[in-house]
Amino acid sequence: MASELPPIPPVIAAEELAKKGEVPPGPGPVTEGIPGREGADKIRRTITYVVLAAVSLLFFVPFFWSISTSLKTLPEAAGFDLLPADPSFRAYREAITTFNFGRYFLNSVFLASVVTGFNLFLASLGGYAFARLRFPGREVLFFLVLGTLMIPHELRLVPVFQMLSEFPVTHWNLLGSYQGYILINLVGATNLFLMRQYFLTIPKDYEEAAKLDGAGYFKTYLRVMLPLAGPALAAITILTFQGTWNDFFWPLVIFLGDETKYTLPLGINQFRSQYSTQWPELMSASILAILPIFALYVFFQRYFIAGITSAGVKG
Amino acid sequence: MAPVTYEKVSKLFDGTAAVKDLDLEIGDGEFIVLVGPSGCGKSTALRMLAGLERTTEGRIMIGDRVVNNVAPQDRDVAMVFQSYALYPHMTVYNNLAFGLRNLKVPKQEIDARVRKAAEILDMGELIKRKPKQLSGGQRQRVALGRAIVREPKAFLMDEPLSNLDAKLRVQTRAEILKLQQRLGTTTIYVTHDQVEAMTMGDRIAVMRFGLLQQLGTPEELYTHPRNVFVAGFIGSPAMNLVPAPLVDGGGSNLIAGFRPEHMTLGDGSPDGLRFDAKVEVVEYLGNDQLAHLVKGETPLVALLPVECRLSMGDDATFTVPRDKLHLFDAETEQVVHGGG
Repeated sequence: MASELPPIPPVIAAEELAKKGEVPPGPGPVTEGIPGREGADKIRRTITYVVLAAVSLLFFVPFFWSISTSLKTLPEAAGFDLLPADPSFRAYREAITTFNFGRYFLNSVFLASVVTGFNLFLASLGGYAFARLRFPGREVLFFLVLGTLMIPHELRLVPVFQMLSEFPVTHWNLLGSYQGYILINLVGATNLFLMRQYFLTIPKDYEEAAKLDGAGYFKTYLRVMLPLAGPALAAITILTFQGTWNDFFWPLVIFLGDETKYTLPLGINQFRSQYSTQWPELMSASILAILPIFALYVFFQRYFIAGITSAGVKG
Repeated sequence: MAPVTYEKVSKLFDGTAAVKDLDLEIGDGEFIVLVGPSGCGKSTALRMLAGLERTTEGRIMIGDRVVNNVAPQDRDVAMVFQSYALYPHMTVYNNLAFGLRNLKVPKQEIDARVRKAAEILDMGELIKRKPKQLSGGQRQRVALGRAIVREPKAFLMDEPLSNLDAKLRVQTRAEILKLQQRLGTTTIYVTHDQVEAMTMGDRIAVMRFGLLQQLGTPEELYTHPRNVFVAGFIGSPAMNLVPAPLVDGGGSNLIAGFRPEHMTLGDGSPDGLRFDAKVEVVEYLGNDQLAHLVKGETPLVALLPVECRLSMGDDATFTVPRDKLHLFDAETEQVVHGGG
């Protein structure tokens, strides 16, 4: 009822944030600009930067070491030198040619894309239902979904393996098939939760307006709610694509024995054998495998941050 | 266009009544304002008509059709939300066309209707913009446009001006009135601002605690408030409501009510109520002065011409003509004697 302007809806705020890459307007630190506190401000800023730099270093050094190792020879890689004495791209050539790297790459792209697509659709649909539709058992069902987050992969290994080896009712053997992998990754509880939280932040007025405009549930979801959930969808795209791309565990379980279906992590693992590891090749293959994710991250980064923060969950 | 009827309509939220036994007949083409403080049930009454809330009891009719169980989109009403609720990802054109497309209106007709609405509201150049590229006033117009293109039987407006600044609010108030008169569409308008209610409504329904307090034209409510609440709510500055004996207005079981603008300084009319009061604060308004007085410990407000300036601490005599005096029962708060 107050006459002041309403707060900017989180959706718009997130979009603005994504576009401009700026911090939304809000009360700044209280000490800012207060005379006599410049010294304290300076010290605080310095401490912040030192801590941030230390943390960055912690992440950067191993990464740099990986790049450096990929440019070394195998004997050199056994040492602790940070920089290669004679950098060469030999390991990259080896990595690509030794195994069917192209095939692994395509497999990874295919599986990550399909799984991401399903997650975007089903998590947003389910998240919308959990956030807005009233149906009996909604809360219990939601807690069940959240509960699945507490079950580790290792615990699901045997039941999933059995289920895929002889699928209930149809008796299909889905082991070694793309379908099997896609099926068990159709929708993640984290994504469902993220979407639900995001939909909860969108004012109900939009839906009510859509209702009066004659849109049914599905149309409201598709035409009104989904376009407003861009940041959350971007977050899911990154998290799921990256998760599937890096997944080693389930491809190992499902595709073991059929090298044509290997994904990149399984391919990279082949540079390790029982008695030795070809570190330069392994590292160069890893670096190559990172590139698509890196590109995806750069593209979606701003949306991703806006999505994660406005959904009130931490990545 | 159609009349709208509420018949003994009630709405309970978890056992708490938001609206109780509302009886209201709104004529075809009438502009009615539901007004009252926060939580009085005015928005709930509107939302029940829109189909966004179910009625717990009673019937709501649009024309001669009972709409209790009719889906919102099939009620043929259009609503303007307080937040406007414009779809942020759609252009103004698509915001206006969305509802028509859902109704499967032919493309050409959609285009014609959208352009006509844009012309009526003078927003032709805004049609390709998105809501966030518009100012508050422009967004408000788009929200109105979205209601107009539907050519509905009734407009429902839920505090549509509360997000505008004071100047724009006055301007838009007049625009909405002009628009309603031009289209002649039945309009139910919800506000908490009694000035808006007084200036816009053909009739005003004052609500409190889910109950309809009084229904009437602005003049009726101003001159003949039915109870203490309406007396105090309608009119700005608000009516003085004091124990009747304090101003020699009647017995102790009565509350005397008189409007600040009906008080005069000095002895005034011979048959008027005459009493002394002390001036506490004077607000100079240019043409008038608003004097905050105290008699005993009871605060009073007088709106007086500026010719005779009052100062803080003055003791003065004031008069209220008897025909401007309202008397209410102290217990039931209902009127026993209305002003002239």
